[in-house]
Amino acid sequence: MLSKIYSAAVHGIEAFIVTIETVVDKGTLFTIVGLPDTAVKESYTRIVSAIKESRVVYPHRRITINLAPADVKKEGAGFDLPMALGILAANENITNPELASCMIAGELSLDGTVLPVKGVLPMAVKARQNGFRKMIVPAANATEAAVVNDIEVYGVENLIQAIDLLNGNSTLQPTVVDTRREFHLHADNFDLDFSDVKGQESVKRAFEVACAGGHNILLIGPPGSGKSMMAKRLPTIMPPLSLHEALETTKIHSVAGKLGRGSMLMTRRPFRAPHHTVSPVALVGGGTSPQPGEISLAHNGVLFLDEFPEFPRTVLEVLRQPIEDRVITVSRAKYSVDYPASFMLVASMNPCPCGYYGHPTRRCTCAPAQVQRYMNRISGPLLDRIDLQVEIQPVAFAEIASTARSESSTDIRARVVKARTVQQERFREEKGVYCNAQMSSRQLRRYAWPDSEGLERLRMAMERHNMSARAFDRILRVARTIADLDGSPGVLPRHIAEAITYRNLDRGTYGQIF
Amino acid sequence: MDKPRNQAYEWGEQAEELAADYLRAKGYTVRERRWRYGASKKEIDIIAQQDDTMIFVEVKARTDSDTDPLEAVDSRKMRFLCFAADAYLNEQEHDYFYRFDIIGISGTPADYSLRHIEDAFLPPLMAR
Repeated sequence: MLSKIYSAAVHGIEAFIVTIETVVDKGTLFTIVGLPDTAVKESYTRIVSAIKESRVVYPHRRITINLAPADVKKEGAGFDLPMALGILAANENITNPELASCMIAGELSLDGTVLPVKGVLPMAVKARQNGFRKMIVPAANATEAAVVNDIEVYGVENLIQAIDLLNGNSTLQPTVVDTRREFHLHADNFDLDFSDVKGQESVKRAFEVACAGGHNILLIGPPGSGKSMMAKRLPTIMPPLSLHEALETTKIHSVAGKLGRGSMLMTRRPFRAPHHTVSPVALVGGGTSPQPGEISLAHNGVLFLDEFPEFPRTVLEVLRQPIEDRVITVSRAKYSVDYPASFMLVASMNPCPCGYYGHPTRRCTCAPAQVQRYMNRISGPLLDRIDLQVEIQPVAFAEIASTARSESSTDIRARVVKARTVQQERFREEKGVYCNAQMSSRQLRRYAWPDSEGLERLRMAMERHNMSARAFDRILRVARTIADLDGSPGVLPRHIAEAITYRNLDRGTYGQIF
Repeated sequence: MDKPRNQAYEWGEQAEELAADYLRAKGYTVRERRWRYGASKKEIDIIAQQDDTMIFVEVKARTDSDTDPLEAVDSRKMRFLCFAADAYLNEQEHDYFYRFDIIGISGTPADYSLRHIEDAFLPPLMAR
């Protein structure tokens, strides 16, 4: 007899339906066709053992399994459960007329336990799109799948539960998640807050500007000045995730298998801080069976690169294209996959190899050439994509000991959200531009052109600090964001003045005097 | 002319006879002895039937009792048995379940011990 079971496989961050056809008839051979990879071939052993452990007699007959579509390589152990159920359905151990409206995924262990699989959320999304009414998934993935409403999700612990469920001998209840309620319940729940940071008001302000305009930011400061501490708190002042963004970010983490047991929607913006020994593939994604990298895991959140110049140049240069495109395409001979990668880059570095160049009290022991060489490790084109470059000084003792409470994340965030709303209004007509950081030169001239006094101030600053031409656009862009925070329709001289202070590295004299 | 039959060969034949008797005594119906699959020189020693199950038996005779009969059946032999059994079952009108058994007989015709391993192995995976 023939049975058909529906499962799904993941391609990029989207799932596609895989039909598992099983025929049981006269003979002894066990055959899997339809481009299975090693893990799928090995499922034979797991399926046989799991069925034998489940009080069901394993059908000692010829079993032929076909995985359709036949031209796509089927990877991973997620087909164990649907294949086992397919065999039992073909052998009439399971009779359920609704199998065709049910999507099944799960890995089996030898004792019949159903183990979690990657990519359950995109599968659930696909299941709903294709009109499936039920999903049987590992219990550990149940809440993840249930994020997609309007589909009955059953989380099963073992094969017996799945068999009983399909045969109607089960009291197992579907897992229900009120996605909107959960989302709003956890959206503003942070364990960190900017009020923990003592002093550093100017750097906090720079962060606020960066968040408000979606600008990338580079922090330059000696060790122990609080670079990492503040970067970690950045998600708390970014605008709250929209439900759509949350779903997209969760999907990526689901595909990468980074969601824990029983997790639902990610309600906070991700904060990823890869170590500087990270490989290019681990950073941007890839591999023989492509997996999302750190930049995609940081989608809609923050990618923090500590000790920026320590990253190998090859690793940093692969960042350039995704920073522009906000997506990374991993290409293979037969196919290519897209992973979204819209992140805010926060980089931090020491000002020089010894760390004390420009320090108020300690002496830098580096030769000027050393400082210059250290700076040169970051290429111009990459630096060009970082709008704010901020020097950060160690906190003075009086400020550390101060009990005065600094401004909370909630207050800063309110201003950021306001500035973002202004930008949404402004770029409504512009395609592919959502925040000031994405403005082209032409748009800069249209939206961020200062008055004559502002222009004059900018000219003076550029001459005095010997600034490069590319600094010009950057300053205007940041000045626009500062004006938005200020609630000002035009870019005023004081906005230009503040923006100039965020271009420390553009001063042609950096690393030459001191 | 018959080939000269050495001692081991004779013991093998006797062992198959003993195994068949043993299976009959257990209530199985012995359907075939030394069933040949196609043009192959290899054969299935005994095919027995019990209810809905067709049992394919490989008999291993030993003069000592040290070696495990299961170890004497290698993956090539298993593959052959599976293909042969598959062909045999397809010839049948009725739909049977399969089972692969190994019977190990060690000692001498006068003094032997018999070990029956039911459901000794499953067919290997055929992935194309």
